[in-house]
Amino acid sequence: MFDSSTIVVGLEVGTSKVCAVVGEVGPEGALNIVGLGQARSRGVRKGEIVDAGLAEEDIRRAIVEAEQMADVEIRSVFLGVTGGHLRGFNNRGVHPVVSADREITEDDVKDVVKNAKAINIPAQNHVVHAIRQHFCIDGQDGITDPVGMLGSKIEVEVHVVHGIVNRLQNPIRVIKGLQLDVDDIVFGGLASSLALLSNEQKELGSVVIDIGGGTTEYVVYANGIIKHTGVLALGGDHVSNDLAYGLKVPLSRAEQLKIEHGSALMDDSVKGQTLTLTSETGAMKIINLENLRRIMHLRLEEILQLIAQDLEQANVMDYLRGGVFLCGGGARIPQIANLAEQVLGLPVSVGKTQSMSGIKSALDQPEFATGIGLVKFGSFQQRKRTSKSGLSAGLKSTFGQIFRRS
Amino acid sequence: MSTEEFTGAAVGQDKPVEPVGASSPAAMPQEQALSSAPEAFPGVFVVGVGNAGVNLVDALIRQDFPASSCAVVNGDAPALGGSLAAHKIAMDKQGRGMGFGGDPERGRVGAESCQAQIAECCKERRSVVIVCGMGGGAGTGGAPLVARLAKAAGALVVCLPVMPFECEGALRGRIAESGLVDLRKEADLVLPFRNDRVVSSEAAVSVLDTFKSANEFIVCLLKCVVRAFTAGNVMGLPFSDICTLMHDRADLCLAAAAESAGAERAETVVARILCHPVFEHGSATLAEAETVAVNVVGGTTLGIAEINKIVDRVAQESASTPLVMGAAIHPEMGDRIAVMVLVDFRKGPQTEAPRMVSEQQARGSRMAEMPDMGPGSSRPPSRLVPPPPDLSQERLRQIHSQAGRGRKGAPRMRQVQLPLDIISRGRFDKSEPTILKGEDLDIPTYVRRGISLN
Repeated sequence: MFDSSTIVVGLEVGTSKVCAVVGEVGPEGALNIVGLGQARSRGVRKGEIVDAGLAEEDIRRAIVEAEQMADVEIRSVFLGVTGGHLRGFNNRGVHPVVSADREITEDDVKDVVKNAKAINIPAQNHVVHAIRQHFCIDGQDGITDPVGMLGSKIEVEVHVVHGIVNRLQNPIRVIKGLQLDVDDIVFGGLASSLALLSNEQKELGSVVIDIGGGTTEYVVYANGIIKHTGVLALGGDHVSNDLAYGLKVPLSRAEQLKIEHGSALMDDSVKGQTLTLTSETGAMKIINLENLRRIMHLRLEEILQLIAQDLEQANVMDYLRGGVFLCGGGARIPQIANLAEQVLGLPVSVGKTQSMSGIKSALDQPEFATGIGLVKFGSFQQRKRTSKSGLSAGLKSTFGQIFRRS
Repeated sequence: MSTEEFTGAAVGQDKPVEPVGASSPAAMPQEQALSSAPEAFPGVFVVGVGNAGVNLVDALIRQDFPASSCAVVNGDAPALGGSLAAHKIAMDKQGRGMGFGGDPERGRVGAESCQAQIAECCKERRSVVIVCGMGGGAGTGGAPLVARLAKAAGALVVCLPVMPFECEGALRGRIAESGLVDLRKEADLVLPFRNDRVVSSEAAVSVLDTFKSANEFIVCLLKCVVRAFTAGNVMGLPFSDICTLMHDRADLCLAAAAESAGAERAETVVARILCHPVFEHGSATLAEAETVAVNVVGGTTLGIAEINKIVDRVAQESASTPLVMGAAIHPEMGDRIAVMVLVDFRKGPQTEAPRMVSEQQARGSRMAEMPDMGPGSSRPPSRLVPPPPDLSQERLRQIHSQAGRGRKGAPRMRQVQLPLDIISRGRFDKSEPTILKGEDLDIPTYVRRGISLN
């Protein structure tokens, strides 16, 4: 039996699937994926639970599968959260260095970070992440570790991801119902980016776009730090729904058509082509392939355009030399990379999970990026926790207290 | 208007025109003199047939259309004499100067008697627009012949027949429909205008007002057609191509035209088009069509955004119907903008069926349908004036099918958007809508952008 401290579990309750990834953190901090469990998700829409009963069942199936595969007992998970209510923004904190010799101490750093986190968000919102960016000492920018440097004023920027607390609590409550603990909640897009990007790519400036079933998340890295995050409550479900509406077929059939005949780009080869479908009752239906592609193309193009607009507004377009990395089920759509290249004007590729060993089949799939990222996030936290009880432990206890059952 | 006022032997005389024979030699030199005059609408020639045709051509000339590019063909000598058109062709061989008593057969014979003159007028014209009133003698009988002659002369022939009011009687309606069938065989494109569409159910509206508004609509359409032929095409299909396209596909084609000027001209003109009497069933008519064609003609100030707005709006209304467009510039337009929307139906719009029983006749074989239309069988209400129950039933159906005629714009809007909203939410019915910048993103992108599927 493994010691539970070396096992890290990531759980993603997605719109199309629930996915539990079990990772084993080695003595040197190396991460090895040892188990994977997944189940079709039925109780989730747009990344948020709408039917707790079904969601609980699906989560249990995924967890059990992962437990069997990894041969471990799962006690706690790092939970991926998403949803249209999540917002990301940057906030700046300032702190004067008061010590006589003007040397910046750890306490100064703590204070400035605390100031930066004192943000003005609605009362019902909860901060999911407050990620430290670079420090700035007396106007000198780009300092990663200011301890021991001299200065009179220290500033820091944090990227804050926050969401509505009730909606964040819904999945936690369901997981508590399964007698599992939630170590921490992690923004799904952030987890995906951890799984996909190498340090070099973060330095160069990259975007990770996770096109999921119900939501599309994106995270922008520049100069090694998170510059911008965003969530659109749009995803593969919308494509299927559009097809079901436009082609007048049932949703399940639309889903199937999307997978079998879909593509992100319109090309001349489908002009005038048709498909003949036979329903269970034997009724024939002819579907125009060109229409299918057009509907799909327009929706995907729109999603990417919305992201492009947001990136444009956040003024991060010029930092992105590393390019765009796609993941999530949407990354499987043929030619999606070409479409994204057209829309964003950046080099685009489908992301590959980085620097991890383990089950090959799990690592190769773009859908599992979030799950793997969650494990990676967990392993970082685990390492931190051994040295000091930090922010994540505080978070855990906050949520733990609220939802502890009997 | 001295020498140009009369044709043939009547040249220079100041008494009412004397109807002339088929082979009047004097028609030739005058014709040549006229065609050499500079024209604002080169290549287009308008022929009015019958009394209604004469009236409409006069109305067109009053709106600065060159009289030299107009001809009137009629059997009624006084009406012919008073016309402003440069070419006047009298159809009556006997020279009695009377009408044809509403008999299309006599009208046809009358027109045949002056074939040569008509052919002469249509010679070397690129396009000929025929305007006539259907249901009478001259228009119904003469117009198909004029169309045939014009086509034989190598012109593209567009015909704007005006259909009679329903209260003019079933017989007249039948005659008009049969004339329409003949016309469709001869002309390249037939765009009938149903007078009934401008009938207001309000009692206060007088007959003259009704005529006036009908005339305004027809003259506007007529003007748009002649202008579309002569304007320099800048975008999309030229009007002649649209005509060909519509002719190839259509069993029934309807057209509506509107003009506007000023700051909001694109919005105004498209709003006018959409509440045009021809489209009184609103979006249903547009969405049921096989093809929708939009022709935009403006002056040199015509903006691409305006064209875009107009075409977008029409595309929205026409849902998934394929749409073709053409935009052109005509110097005569100034700061005005004119839009013409043509829709065609393979079998005629369904909503039309209960109201226009005789419509079937136009669609199918005339002979086969005739017995159905037999005396008093299918349309007694319009023949027998007094019986109130019958009439009210017909009326009821009519009113039902054209409910809210006075406020056409608003209910139509709701009708389109309501089902879309419900259906398209589909899977996301119970979840929170994804709204960004006021747009509900759960609705399919192609629907919101008004992109039509074929």
